[in-house]
Amino acid sequence: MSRSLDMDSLVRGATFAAALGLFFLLILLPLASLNQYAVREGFAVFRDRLRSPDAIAALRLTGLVALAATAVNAVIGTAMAFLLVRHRFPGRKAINALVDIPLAIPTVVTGFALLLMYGPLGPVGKFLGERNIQLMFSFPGLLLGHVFVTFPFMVRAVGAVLESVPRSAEDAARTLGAKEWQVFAFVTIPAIREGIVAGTFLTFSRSLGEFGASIMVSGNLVGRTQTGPLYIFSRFNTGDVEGAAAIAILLALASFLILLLLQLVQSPTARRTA
Amino acid sequence: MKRLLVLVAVALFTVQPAYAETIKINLHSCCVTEDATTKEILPAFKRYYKEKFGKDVDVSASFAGSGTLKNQILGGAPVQVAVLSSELYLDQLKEKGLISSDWRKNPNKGAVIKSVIVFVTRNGNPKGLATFADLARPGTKVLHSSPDTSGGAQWAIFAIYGAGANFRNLSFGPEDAGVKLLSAVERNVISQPESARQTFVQFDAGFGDAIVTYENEALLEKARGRDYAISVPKKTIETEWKVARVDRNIRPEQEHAVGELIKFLYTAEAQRAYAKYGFRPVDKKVGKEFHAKYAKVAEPFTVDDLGGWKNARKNVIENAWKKTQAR
Repeated sequence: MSRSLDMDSLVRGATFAAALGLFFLLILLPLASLNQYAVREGFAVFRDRLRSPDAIAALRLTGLVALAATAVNAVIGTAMAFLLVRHRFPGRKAINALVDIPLAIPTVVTGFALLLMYGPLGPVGKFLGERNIQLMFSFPGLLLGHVFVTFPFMVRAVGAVLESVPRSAEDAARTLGAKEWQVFAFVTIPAIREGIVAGTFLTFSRSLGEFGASIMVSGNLVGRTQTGPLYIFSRFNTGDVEGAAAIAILLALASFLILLLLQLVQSPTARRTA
Repeated sequence: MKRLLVLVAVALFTVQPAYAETIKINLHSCCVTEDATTKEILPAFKRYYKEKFGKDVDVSASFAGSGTLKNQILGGAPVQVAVLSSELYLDQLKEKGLISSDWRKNPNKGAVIKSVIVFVTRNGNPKGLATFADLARPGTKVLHSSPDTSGGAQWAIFAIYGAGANFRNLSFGPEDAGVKLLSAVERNVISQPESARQTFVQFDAGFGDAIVTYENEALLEKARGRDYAISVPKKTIETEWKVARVDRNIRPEQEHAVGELIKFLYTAEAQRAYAKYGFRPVDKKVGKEFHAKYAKVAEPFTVDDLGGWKNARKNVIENAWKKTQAR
């Protein structure tokens, strides 16, 4: 009896050590080596790389696009989550599966698809072109790419919470005479707040790192339409590994802080519901 | 279902059992050489080696932009032979101790194929773009890949600069005619994707009036049935790809095959294969055979006219081109 208990704790200990060890080896160590490269030539070089005007322009653009993409997806992603969770309609399962498509297809393909659609030969692009509107190779094109790539995060995060929220509170509000918009704003939104927060944070940090679609639709013009990840790739290819690593560290750190913040924001409510 | 998945997984991991006596070498070759290399040259080399030396040789090849390949080799990719679009990359490999031999001792100082920088326009060249100065006309939309990631783009920028420059008086300052032309053309550049291939993807989607790129890329696209027009400017640069052995990765048993592979790239057979896919051969005889395929450039120049790779990179790209990007 006690032997099997020992075995159990042994197995548990081994699993624990293995999971932690693998996480260290597969995830943390590569990140750590990035750090080593970034400051290899000394901290002054690291600071100098961060001060490069092209780097600053790229980081600024990345931040702006990520904010905009998050704002757009916060609205349409939440709406989509409502549609999928709260409504039953023919084709719902198919649409539900299609929502995750942006995660499954290579992002370069996404970029290509956008180029075809908004290019002068595509129907939408033709229509816009006749009105002298050029979306690709500029901020709006980049935004379209990021909205596409990050779309599933908001839908899934809000959807998961929405599934678990009972509708009784909303019904109670209605019984008490609340109008539909009041129910939505004061009952539903607070109830799914956690999902919205998680969704926006995930969307934002995924957007910070977006590469494949960006390189196709942004035009990759240095200092103008080049985002952080594109800048990193360029620097790396010119042999400026320090420059690449400096910006990479910054983006990785930003993502880490965002995700850490998400944990901190979420844990009290998580504890309360438990 | 589960069993099927397992079968698929097993199949994926057990492709092609290895033969012990086969010599294996790896070749990294710049992206645009993929078709010529995999479809013609490597199978021919395999046959040639077996016939002449009675041994099986298996060459695996990998293709990407020259900068990416160089980084992969620096990062430890077990590559024995590299064909790259920029001497600077070979120099970097030498500096890091991966190459110890002198690749300039190969025939033509290592150059194994050539091309020229041309531009690709829409069918019938509706805007009448014939010289690099035409690309500077207001309202012309130009594409070329990014010189940070693409060797071809570096050549394209050299070509634009050189087309305007006076080779006896290169100052690279704002009064330099080459810099003036480069700034004017760059003002019309709407996108600089990662590779020459991506410029064609964007062009295909309808963006731009002209792509500044290698002639061989342009010919390859035409051969694929695209209805583009190719303009060979009167004054343009001759580009070259250079081959080098990556000495540090060569094991004694690979030594012979590596030497033979490099030699083979210069044979009429390999040169003909390159020419078939749009490159200009370095072999004079094969060059004559394909005479009709290539437009004569009235005033060709080389990177040496711009002061050699190292200077040209520093003055034309890192200095002059970089300034055109700031707006």
